[in-house]
Amino acid sequence: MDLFAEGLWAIRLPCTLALLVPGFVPLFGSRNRAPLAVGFYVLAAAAVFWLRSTGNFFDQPKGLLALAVGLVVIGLAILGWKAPRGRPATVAAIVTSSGFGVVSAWLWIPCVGTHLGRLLNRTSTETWAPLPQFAVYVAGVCALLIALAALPYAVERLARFADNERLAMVGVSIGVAFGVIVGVGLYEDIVAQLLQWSLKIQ
Amino acid sequence: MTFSRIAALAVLAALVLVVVAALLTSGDDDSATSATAATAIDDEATAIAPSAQSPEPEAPPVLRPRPDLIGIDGWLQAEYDSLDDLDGQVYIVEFWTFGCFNCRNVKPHLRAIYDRYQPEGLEIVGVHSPEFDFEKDVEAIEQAALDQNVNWPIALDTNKRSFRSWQQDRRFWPRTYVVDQNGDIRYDHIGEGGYDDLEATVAWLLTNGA
Repeated sequence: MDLFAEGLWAIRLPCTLALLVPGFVPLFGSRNRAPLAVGFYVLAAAAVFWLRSTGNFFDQPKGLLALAVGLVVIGLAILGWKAPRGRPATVAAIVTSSGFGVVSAWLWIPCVGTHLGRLLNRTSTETWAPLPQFAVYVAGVCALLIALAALPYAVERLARFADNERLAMVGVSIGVAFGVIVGVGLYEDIVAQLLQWSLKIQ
Repeated sequence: MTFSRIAALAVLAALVLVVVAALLTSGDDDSATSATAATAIDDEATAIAPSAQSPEPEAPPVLRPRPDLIGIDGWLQAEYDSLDDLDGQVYIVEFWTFGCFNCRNVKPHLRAIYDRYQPEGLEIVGVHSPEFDFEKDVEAIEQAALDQNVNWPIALDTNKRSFRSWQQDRRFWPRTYVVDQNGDIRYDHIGEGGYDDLEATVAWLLTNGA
């Protein structure tokens, strides 16, 4: 619970936006498969974050690698949007959301509070045991996405948002913008700018 | 009512419950880092002191020899050539950057420990390893040190060479180490928290030696 709370509470910090904002791509861009897509986004992001915490993941992409990652991200966003309905759409939603989860968590520099710190310290002595707790933390960070994914299915009046062309366009636009930002190397500058603004506000 | 609606409602209800509980919990946590933290920390430190000085405290394990600082561009609030200048002393090495929220939250706790143990020989070396370009500005670092009441020596690790060499595969801000009189690392902690263990390690080393 503490870990989830810390993830949730981190929403007010700019460092968390780096994980939260790309999550809107699977949320909006996967048509009527948002719950599935958000679930895979959370799981993929948690897995990569865990791998990074154990020291078994790549350094953040720079230069040509960043360009390649940016292009892959754009391709994934379009794949999720353009996939034919039915089973291909389900597969595309899983691939797109997992891909976005992997890239977001790869680029993400988290705010390490008390409970996340404790978890990160544990990974130096225990490799596998903390894995589910990373998912709990990331679920806390992504609680807004989870709620938004469930809403159209829970409230009948909102059902039309479950498969909405305009929302899908918003999703794919966020995805393409994210890909361009990563590809041209602006990602760090934008996160830095967000941080500077929030430092001025505080 | 369809199955998907029931499932979605269940997810939302669970989420609302968890969020409410989480917000209540995090409200408690946040009080530790609020403006009144200094008082709370003093109380906490007073409460810790007896256990830190209990008759048979456990010796902190030797983790590994400390690396030296490399690629340091300069020092603020002190002038050392290397960490060798601190040989024979107990000191804390904290990797931080002034834009990092969690690094800020650690500062009142470090300051309380510094105030308490500096007369007994404790030193702190804050290694400023900027995450972003705007954090490389020395004037901004000086201002941040003033704002955050950092009154211990600061090593400028502008290109993060020390940050990488000390942390190798797992790199996070903040990260706090305690180095003993022999130059061995006896405490290693990522993120906020762990202040009781940090203080207990410092107290043990100052009392018992390496």
